[in-house]
Amino acid sequence: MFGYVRPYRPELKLREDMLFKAHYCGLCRALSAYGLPCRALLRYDLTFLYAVRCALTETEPVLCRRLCPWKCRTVASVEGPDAAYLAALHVLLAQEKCRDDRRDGGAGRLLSPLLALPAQKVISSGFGEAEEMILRMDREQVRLEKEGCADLDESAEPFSALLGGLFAYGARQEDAPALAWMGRNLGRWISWMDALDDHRKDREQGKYNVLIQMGLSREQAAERLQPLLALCQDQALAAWDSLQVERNDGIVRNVLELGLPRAAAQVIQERRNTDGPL
Amino acid sequence: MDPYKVLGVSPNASDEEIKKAYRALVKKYHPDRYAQAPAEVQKQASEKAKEINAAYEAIQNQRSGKQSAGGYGSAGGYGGYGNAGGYGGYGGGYDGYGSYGGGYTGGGQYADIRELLARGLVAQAEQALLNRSVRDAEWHYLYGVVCMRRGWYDRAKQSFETACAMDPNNGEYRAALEQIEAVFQRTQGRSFMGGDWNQMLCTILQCMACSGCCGGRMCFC
Repeated sequence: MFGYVRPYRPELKLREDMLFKAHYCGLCRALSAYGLPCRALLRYDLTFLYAVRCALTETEPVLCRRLCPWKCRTVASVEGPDAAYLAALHVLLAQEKCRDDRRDGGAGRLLSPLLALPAQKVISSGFGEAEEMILRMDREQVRLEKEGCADLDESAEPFSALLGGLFAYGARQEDAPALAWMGRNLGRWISWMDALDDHRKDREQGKYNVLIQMGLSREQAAERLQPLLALCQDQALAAWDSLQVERNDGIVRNVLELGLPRAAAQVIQERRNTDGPL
Repeated sequence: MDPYKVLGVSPNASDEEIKKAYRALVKKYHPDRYAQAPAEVQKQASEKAKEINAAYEAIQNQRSGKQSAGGYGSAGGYGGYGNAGGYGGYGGGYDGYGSYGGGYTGGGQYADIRELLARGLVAQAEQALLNRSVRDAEWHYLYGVVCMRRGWYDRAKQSFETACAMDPNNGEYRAALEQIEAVFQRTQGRSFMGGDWNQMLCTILQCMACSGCCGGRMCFC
């Protein structure tokens, strides 16, 4: 489901590119609290959320050099107050993916036992509310799939509400409404992108997909979704613009203004992502 | 706060640069852009807009004061930036944002619903709409507004389209639909600002008339 929310790196300044990588490495480090294998759960969209949250904190996140066990050398790493929350989210969302795969018979179900202990640790660390939000989304998603929901807005609502909640979770009171609005719009955008991306695969495998349920071909779906994706992107950017941003503006703006439309164009035109890893 | 910092320009910037920065910022915080956002987000945007207007005014005053002896010729030009008056709507307690569905002039049978929308009471407005049995063009338009405010963009677009089809001469309905189209056009324009590198490479290679052989293997589009 994830991975569409990433920067368009050729348009990032060198400093911003390095900083985005440093956020990524900072999160990887925070994830090590749940064991080395959990570092493999790292994803770009949550790195983006980390950059967003770091942009709004009063205490400046620390940029330091840490030894990376994968690269066997020191790397720049951003250590902000929200790193623990974002690391916990990685575990909880990976567990949710496993739950989803267990229902669909996907490969992720095999990872489920590995995540049980880290997930327990996350909940006991005080992130139970985030887990509650994810479970609520899961229940809603299952209900909609069972009912064969054929409404674009309704089908995207559970994930949209979840991301709205997760973006605002634990944020400063004055930032929470804009972060929630940003999360809601990105959640909707990701849901629709995911449905369009999986259209062919779901049709072949006979799985639930709201676009198929609506009787839309891939081309018709792409045409219908294009203006809606643009609205989501525009509103996520509007939410960002309304915030009092301390730092990381270039990175977040790059993702919202260039990264999202690029990812959308790649999915719509069925082009593969050639951006490569960080 | 330093007005130049607010506008993101250097104190040595030319009048033209300042005007350009101001216009870009006014556009960024325009009420239309926040019409569907929650009230708190609208309020934050309104505060930013007020700050920008104040900064621009401060710079204008400062510069006209400085240059009055020399005849600050373009001052009239600033005054001519008539839209600024329109943007001043931000100062009016943010009612300008509610006008997406709330800026109705006549009484009409939907006056109560428009009032609810103007006050940001979206759930009540939706309920009141759903309780109505007559579903005319205005009903569809207002339902579209409710959907926009909830982030239900597909239903919103469909509702605006229905409203426009039922009453093609209504400017308000058409404007709502055109706004969605405008956002799409704007984001499309922005998305390839930096260009798609693979496509650019492909175009270059095609120009070299070899994209079918060696060039084709170098790009993945």
